[in-house]
Amino acid sequence: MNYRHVAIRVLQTVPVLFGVSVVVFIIIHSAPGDPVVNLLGIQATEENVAQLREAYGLNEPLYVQYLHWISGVLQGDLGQSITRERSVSALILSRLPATLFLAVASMVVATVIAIPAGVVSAVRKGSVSDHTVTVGALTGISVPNFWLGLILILVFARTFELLPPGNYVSPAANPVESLKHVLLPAITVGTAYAALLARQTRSSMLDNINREYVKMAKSKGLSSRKVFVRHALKQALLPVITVAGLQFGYLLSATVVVEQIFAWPGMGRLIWSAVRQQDYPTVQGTVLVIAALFVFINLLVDMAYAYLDPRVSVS
Amino acid sequence: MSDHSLLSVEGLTTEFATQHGRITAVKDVSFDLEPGERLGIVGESGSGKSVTARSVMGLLDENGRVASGSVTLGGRELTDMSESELGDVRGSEIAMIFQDPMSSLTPVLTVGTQIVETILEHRDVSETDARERAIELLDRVRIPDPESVVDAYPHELSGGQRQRVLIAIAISTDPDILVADEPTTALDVTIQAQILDLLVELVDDRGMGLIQITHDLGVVAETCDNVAVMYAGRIVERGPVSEVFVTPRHPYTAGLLRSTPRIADVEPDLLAGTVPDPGERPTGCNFASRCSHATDDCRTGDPPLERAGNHEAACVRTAQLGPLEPVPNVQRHESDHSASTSTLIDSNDVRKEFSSADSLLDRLLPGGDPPVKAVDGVDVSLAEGETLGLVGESGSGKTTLGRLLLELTDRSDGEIRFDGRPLTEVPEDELRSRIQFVFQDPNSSLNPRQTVGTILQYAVQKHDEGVDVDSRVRELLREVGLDPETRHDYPHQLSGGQKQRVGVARALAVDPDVIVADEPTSALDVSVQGQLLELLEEIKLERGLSMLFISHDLSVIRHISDRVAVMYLGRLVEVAATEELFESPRHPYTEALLSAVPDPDPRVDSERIILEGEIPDPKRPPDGCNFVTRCPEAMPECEHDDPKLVGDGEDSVACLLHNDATRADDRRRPKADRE
Repeated sequence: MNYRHVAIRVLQTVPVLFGVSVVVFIIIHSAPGDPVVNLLGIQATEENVAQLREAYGLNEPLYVQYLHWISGVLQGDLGQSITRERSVSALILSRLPATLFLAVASMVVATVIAIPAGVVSAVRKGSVSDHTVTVGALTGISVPNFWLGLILILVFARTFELLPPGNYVSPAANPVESLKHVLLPAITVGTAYAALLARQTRSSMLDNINREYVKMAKSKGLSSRKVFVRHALKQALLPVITVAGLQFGYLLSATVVVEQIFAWPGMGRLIWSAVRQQDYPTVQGTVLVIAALFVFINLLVDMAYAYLDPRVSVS
Repeated sequence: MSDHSLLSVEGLTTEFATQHGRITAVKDVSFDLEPGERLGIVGESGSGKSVTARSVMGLLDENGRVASGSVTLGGRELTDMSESELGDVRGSEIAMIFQDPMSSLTPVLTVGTQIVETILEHRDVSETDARERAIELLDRVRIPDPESVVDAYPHELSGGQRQRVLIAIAISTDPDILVADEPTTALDVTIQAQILDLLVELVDDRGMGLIQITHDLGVVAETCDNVAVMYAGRIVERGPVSEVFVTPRHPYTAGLLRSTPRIADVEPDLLAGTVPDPGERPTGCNFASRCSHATDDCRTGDPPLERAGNHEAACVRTAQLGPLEPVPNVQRHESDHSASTSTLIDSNDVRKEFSSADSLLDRLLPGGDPPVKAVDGVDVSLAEGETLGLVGESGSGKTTLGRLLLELTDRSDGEIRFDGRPLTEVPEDELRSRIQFVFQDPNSSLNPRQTVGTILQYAVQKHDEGVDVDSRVRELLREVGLDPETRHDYPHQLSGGQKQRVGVARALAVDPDVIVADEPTSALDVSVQGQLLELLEEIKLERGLSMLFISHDLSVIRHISDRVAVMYLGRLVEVAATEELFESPRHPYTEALLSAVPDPDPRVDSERIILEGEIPDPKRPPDGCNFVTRCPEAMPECEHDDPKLVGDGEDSVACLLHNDATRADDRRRPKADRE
């Protein structure tokens, strides 16, 4: 990958993020209800409501509100929360680490299980381990994460009391404790993700182990392990990484529900409450940050591609 | 079988488990290989030649297994070895070169890694020594600049270089036997000549045994001592090449030899029918249904391989038939095409550049690649009723030129006149109904979800709405030699040859004046290819069509064309009447191209001109003549003077040896002069 390629990819993210900002703005503003009424309660006088609307600029035409908001965003100011006495940036900064920690932990859990499972399943196609992985993956995709989360809490936290039922502990403060706390929510979020990755790894490996170059590697007298790991797997991982990047969006959306279950003080819970209160600036800011995160992850995936697949730099 | 053989294959039978039950791909195949022997195994697709090679190597697909027979290498049985025992034998004692260098190298590992790992697996050396050895090997297979190629990835190399890398890997541990499975099929003819030359040299140098698997009789004749001809899973004839190809005793061998289009001045004598599918082989001799000598005796039992003259053949009638004639004695009928007919398509200085920038941003940012000059100023004309053969190697721009003439691709510059009018003034509808294209790969040019009838129906309706579609479809299918009932089939139910016939029928549906056929036979076996060529010729004569026939295969071009245009790196280097061009080529490239085609007749000892190097990058063509980097007769002025295609009468050539006109002359003259 050369700098030119990187520059092109970075510039391409600009219109994407701009599109996201417009869409989220329109959607949240066209939802029924009013943040001021939510804030003041139904007994509030019309006068008070009008005053507060004026104060937050909610009486302006929509495009003026948008321009006002987006010009702030471009200067690094995401605005003030309507329902909380803080800036949206501060809210996000206080919540982002917990969500990122959960997302990364889920990813690690998922990858550690999924890739080896997918490889074994493909190499021993038709064997008991293959069937176990296939059935397991189907189950993993089918199980709703909120249900899985509740069951995990019930079994591991309540009945056997092996692990705490969530509750974020900062990894900087206490690494060991923090890992214990993240395990159950990470499994909850990561299961479906792992299932997807395992299936993708399996089909991608199957696709590759019948290719000529794998036969060629065998014809050189290499051991099966070398043939599969060095030749087939590196190539087979390319589509897996694409899927992993795209499904990172799933991971982030899963945190919205799972953070509720495990009382996890992350972005998911922030969005959840902001949407309920129709806290426009907070919803807009958090969604924009999450979209940027998603775009950034996929940018990383592209770069990883160039590292794993030397052909990318020329195409 | 002799005890001294290096490799001995005895009664090998290989089966595959499929949805339709077990299918025997290879049956009762036996052969020996002595040290230093070069054995060719030749056959059409479905003959079992590749399966034989893979059975020997233990590299069958998952559903395949050696059902019976033995493969012994230096006295050890290979068929019942475990995978890890085989690992010690493969690569170190017996190595394989695969067909497609594109897909046989692991794309994500460097060339060096792939050579080094082989050496480390079998030899007790350090990594540094192995790398040194890898560089030596790359040098040995004549890859320029091996020190940097060793760190290159496969995609950075050309097809020919990749094939050299495969060879370097195969010889890296000095195996006793080299199995080469169609090693040059994916390569251009001038590169094929280089690779075959290299292979033979290496094998002779090191006293290795070579098993060359190929469909190309010419390759066997050029490179092998002995040959085994396979048909429908069995060896039907075996012996020294000088015998088998000169006095064949099996009717199939003779038929194959006779039906192969040759550079020599003979008309191929076609072999009717097709190879039966492995699941549908008849009782008795597999070839009986296609054999003109077959009697009732042939349909009772599988004939064994028996002594016939100085070699062996599997035919019950060997004694009665005696030696058969391998070369048809029919002289090529001279084309009755007269040069006086009017010109239908005429192109003037046509150019096409492909930009590598694919997005807006890519074009805005500095530092992109220069465009590829795919077609670089070509003047070509096609007369009414004429077949013009356009021949060139991959990357020569022949396909792009074909597409430009149909306006399937927009041209960058130049003018094309169709029927006297500029192409831009011909309405799209008229153009599409008067010029039709037959594509190279029938698998991807026919919609897999539509029946043959539906595919043709669209074309028929498009052309003429009033016609009775169904009867017209049936008529078309009959015209291309297919059963009208084929219209209910989907493309995947047809053989390659049948699919390509559907492609031809689709082109004919609009009743065109011109057909542009782009390598229509390159995916087909020799006998099927011959049948399709014959069909195209018949149709052309019957309907008075003009045809632009694009191919890399000179024998095919010779067979079908009235006139031939030779293309190299985006330009025409020679245009001449077929006879003229093949008898006395004038451009050094044409000459080299002709001499590089392997001839199936082992008695022909033609002097080969082996071109050095490869086609230059079309993004950066050389100054002066485009061919200067490879031309055996390059002169100092060729380095800077760019020769122009100049005609005397019907024949023209772009070479300073024959004419000193250059392209620059045109540009220097004021525009008014040129009119």
